[in-house]
Amino acid sequence: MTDLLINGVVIGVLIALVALGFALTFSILKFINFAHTDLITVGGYLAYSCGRLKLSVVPSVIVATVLTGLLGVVIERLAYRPLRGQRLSMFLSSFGVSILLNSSITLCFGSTSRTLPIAQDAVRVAGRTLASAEVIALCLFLVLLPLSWFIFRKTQYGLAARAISENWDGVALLGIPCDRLVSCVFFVSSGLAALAGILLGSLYSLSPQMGHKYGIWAFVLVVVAGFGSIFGIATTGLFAGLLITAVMYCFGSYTFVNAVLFGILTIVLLVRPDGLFGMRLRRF
Amino acid sequence: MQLLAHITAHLIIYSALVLSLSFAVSKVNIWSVGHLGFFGIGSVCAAALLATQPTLYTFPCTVLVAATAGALLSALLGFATLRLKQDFFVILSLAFSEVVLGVCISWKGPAGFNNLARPTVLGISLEDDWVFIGVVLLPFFIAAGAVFVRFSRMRIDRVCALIQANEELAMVLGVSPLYYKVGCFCLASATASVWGALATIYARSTDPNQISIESNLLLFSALLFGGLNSLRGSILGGLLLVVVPSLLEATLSYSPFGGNYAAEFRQLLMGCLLIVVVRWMPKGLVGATTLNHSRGGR
Repeated sequence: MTDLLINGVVIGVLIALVALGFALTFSILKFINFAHTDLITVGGYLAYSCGRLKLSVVPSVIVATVLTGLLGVVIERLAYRPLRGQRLSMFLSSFGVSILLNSSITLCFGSTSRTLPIAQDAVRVAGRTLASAEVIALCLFLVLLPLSWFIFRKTQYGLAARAISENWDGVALLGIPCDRLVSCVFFVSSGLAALAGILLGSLYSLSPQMGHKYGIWAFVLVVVAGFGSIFGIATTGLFAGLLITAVMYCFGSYTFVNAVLFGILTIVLLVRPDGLFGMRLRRF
Repeated sequence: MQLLAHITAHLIIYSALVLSLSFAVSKVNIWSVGHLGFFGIGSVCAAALLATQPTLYTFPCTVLVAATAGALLSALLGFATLRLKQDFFVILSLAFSEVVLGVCISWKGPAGFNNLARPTVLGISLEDDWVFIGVVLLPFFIAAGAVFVRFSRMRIDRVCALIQANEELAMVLGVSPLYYKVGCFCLASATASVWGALATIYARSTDPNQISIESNLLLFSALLFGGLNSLRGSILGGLLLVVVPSLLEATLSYSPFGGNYAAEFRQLLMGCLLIVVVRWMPKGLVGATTLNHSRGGR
């Protein structure tokens, strides 16, 4: 039972990291970046490639995270920036980028699942044996979410990023480099997706479709929580992880996980369109 | 000849599917990206009926059950979710398609139903592929095209145009946008379900992989490439989905990659096309309307 509980918390924590990236880009540009789901996969496969090049664990994770972050910046520059202001076109363009990334990964690595031998050694924590990746996931969650909250609520950069979503031209007139700030947000959100992808690949397996599965769960999570609340994303993430594990344990299939999650999403959207935490903490 | 019949049948099926999606997108601005979910529902309904009682369920009965299932589920989904923001609806429709995919896989495994018998129509045996195309697929496609063209000349089309242009004005004039949207969505989804049933009867089997997220995105790319609100655009979209992969496979078989990577190269091509179409060709190749851009963050 405790193992199931830990498993649920770890899944929830990793989905919350992906969801945070979703929420960051949405809160600034007001569009759903569907390609974010494939950046999870890209991060995992880049770490796998670094491992094949005989890089050790820490450099592999750093290189994969930074490269995925840079890829996110390049995607924003080439596919989204020319379409700014056209929310639907940006959304459709993100579909194109998603297809492109997914097929490129399948062409490079094949469609079979692979294991990512990173952080798989066992660690003893409070009398229980956990995989290192599980401990790292929990530590990242405890560090990165409060850090994101601090940056977006308490620093000048966070204030500027929030202001951009309200009035782009006004912020630009104040001399703040809006484009550079948007690139930074894409770098951070893509890096978060890569970190989640590496840990998910290490705990489960790598496959070209993994990003879509976890990415759509993350999207459900961020909508249920409300796009503007980091605290809401964290809380709902933990709850969602436990729910996914419970449904998997009871029914033994992802089918029912999707059905339950989307049922909850539909109900929440109908009752509280701003999400469960969207009214109280509407913005970062 | 067998290959030609196979390509022709798939071209008709996918062109009709793109046409039904085009109807939902261009008439009432419903971005049903998970449209293949309804195709899957029709496919599974037909397969389940034909697998259990092949002699009891005739061709019209199978098609009718598939259409009813598609219409009922789309009405439920529509009333529950169509009042949401457009991009939220897109993700929900994709999610719906994923649930259908999951149900299909849990029911009969990844291989789906196999060895189904083709029912007869008015005493005519449909065992020959060309007979099936001539007696079933072509008349159904002509009927779907005629309904699409006729709809564009009816008063209801102008009401739909009003709803797209200004929902508040439509409500002031006593029109309920939700009912029109759900009605058109039901029609498009029921049509997709019928084509799912016809595809299953033609192939004598089901393939759950046809309704994956990747396939849904490819279908939507094909629609945008061909162009919205256009019968010719839908046929071009169908060509892109059916003929281009065959050509790619034939071309790649002479390259160092071999023909095995045709599906991946097709995806790569579609991804590039979608980005190009959205940025430089908002009308697609022969579309009658452009993408309906909604203003958002800069």
